[in-house]
Amino acid sequence: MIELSTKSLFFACLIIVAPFLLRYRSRLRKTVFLALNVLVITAASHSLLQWVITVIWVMLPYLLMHFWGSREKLKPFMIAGIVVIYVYLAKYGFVFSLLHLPEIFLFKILGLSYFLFREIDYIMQYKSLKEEGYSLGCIDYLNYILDFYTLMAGPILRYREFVDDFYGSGEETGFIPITKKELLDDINRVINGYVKVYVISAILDSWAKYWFDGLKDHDGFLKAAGAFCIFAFFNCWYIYFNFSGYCDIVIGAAGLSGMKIHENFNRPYMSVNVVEFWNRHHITLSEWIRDYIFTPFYKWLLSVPLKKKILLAQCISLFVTFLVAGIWHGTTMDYVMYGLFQGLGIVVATLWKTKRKKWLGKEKNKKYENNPVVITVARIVTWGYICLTFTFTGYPVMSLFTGR
Amino acid sequence: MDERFDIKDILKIVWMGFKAAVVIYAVFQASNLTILYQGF
Amino acid sequence: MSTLERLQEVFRDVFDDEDIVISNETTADDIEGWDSLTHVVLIVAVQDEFDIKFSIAETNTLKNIGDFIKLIDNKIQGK
Repeated sequence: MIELSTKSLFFACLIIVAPFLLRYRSRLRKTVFLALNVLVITAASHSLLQWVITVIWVMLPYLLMHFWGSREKLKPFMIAGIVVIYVYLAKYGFVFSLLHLPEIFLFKILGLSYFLFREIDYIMQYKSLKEEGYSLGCIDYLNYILDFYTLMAGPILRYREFVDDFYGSGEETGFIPITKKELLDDINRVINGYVKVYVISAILDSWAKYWFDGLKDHDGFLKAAGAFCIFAFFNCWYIYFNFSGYCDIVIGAAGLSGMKIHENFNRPYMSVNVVEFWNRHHITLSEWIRDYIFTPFYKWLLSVPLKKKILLAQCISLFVTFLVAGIWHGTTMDYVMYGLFQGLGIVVATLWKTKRKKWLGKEKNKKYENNPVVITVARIVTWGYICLTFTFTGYPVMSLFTGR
Repeated sequence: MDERFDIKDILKIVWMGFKAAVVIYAVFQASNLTILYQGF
Repeated sequence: MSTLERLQEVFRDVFDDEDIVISNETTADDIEGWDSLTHVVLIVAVQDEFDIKFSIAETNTLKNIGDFIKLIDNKIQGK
């Protein structure tokens, strides 16, 4: 049984050692990387059964596409099958209780939800990748799915980007050059990431927990509401420092190994509305759900039931997309609420923007959008809303309203 | 990489070392370690 | 009507702005309100207008209108 602190130490050692093994382009590089990835998965498995289940779950899309990759008609069923297995492995509480399913696998697979994204990307892009002559071999596939840098919590890479980056132009061999600035910047980024996660976010987490646990001690609605706001404040900054810190660690560490990982954050709490927020927070997730949930659903709505009703199709698609994204975040009703509120925020922001443009006309609307007072107020309101919706992620907020 | 390390770089490295020491201290002091697993 | 002119009409429709003028060098930064959301709306509208289909990879790597027009013309010819 590997405990959390040992895992962290193991990971820290890994990212120090890995660049010495990986910053060298050769025919062996992908095998070395695979060995490291398998090592991490094995270390993260608490039992042989978990390891076996993980291997099956990871290999399934590869095998499906290898044998039936040319059958376009089967694709939706493959995706549906993968998602069903995911829901079962992730143990969605309300699904299990609704359908009275037996809980055979009592473990949680590390990186499960991020596996899902990569597997779906692989399946959806398979045909184009093949036509463009991309390598679809087993080793490349496994390295993509198991990439230990992005295993735990992303950022979400696409197969194309991963392969392009791993092989470069394909002609370079030998040591991947690094400038002094790049070296210092990457190491600095990793260290800053650690500070963000283990110092800043750890403190914020304990403060947030303290105020949440103390909620029941407050008599009177106003006092409780005030305490809730303090909790929400610490929680939202905890989320930012914890998640962006983790991204700093993996982006910097992967950079040292000669691998490029996409940015995931861009000053998210400076957003003027919820739509912009999702372009600044967990950016790779937004792009993924835009490409694989929003776009297909939106296209379908426009082509069949809602032809020409663009705004309505947009709003429904956005709401459904964020509801699904919210549910992906976690397996309890709290996360469903999270999704609902995100969807609501997005729809309201979209409608407001459209109506406002119509009312004010182009000139006045532009002045309005560039007005510094408007911008400041918008940022505060958006941040406040996001703050409140974030309380549903990680805390049983629903139980506050429904009674314990 | 054949650029040389000047005094600015040395200072940067010292500062990084200090931050790393703070992290190590915090980890050994804290009874709770928090890693975001996004629910997993 | 040339592809550029037809595309310009689609832009004017999607962004609800009759004053939009595009050229081969126009990029997303030049058009106000072109974010990842309106990008999808735009792609769907272009697919509709020219009766063609794009893949995700194709539309994510476009750098400017010139690239876009090349892609559209290729698709039309490929049919």
